[in-house]
Amino acid sequence: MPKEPQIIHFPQGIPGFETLRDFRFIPEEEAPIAHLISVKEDQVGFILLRPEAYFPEYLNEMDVDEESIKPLDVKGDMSVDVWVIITLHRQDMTKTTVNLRAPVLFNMANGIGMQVIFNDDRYLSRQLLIKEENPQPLEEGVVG
Amino acid sequence: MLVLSRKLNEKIKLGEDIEITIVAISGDSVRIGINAPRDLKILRNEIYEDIQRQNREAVAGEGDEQSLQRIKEYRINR
Repeated sequence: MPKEPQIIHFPQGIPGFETLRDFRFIPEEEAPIAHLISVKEDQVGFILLRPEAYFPEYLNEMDVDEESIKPLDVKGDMSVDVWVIITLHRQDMTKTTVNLRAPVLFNMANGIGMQVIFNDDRYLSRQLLIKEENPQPLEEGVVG
Repeated sequence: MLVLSRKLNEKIKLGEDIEITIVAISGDSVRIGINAPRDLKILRNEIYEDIQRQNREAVAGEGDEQSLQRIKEYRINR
């Protein structure tokens, strides 16, 4: 039986979509991917990636202080889930980017989410997902 | 909009707990120091606008399923 998608409430909305506060969160089982779809406007949806799948140091290096994630209302041993938004490129996979500048954080215990924006210029809002030194072209025309 | 003139090292107070200081002036750029509660989000405006733009661009639509599938395969094949 498919699990009921969890509704995540974003008290501040998401930059660019400040009026949309509630999103369905649908993680995939086979990939480090999840879908975040507005309850009010279901054509507004984001694809999320677990950053550690591609950027192993990201979570360790991330500097998030308690004050800046106050809206998440993290208490005791509640954990925070970190995702980044993918921007797909339809023609060229190597142009796919992820937003490391503004990760999406969830407190799964209370269903509250927020997009945090770093002031640190090391983090790019358009970080290429596929590093240029190892582009691995997929074989065309192969259908499972 | 309220507009105030300030000289180097002069300050502006916003409410009880926010203080803005003109730290340095050089040509057409001004360095500003801000003392504020740590839970107050302070961002250069262009960064917020960049994230807004990036989020709007990231909204997935029809036809993105295929692109996503290729990303997943890339990951699996790696």
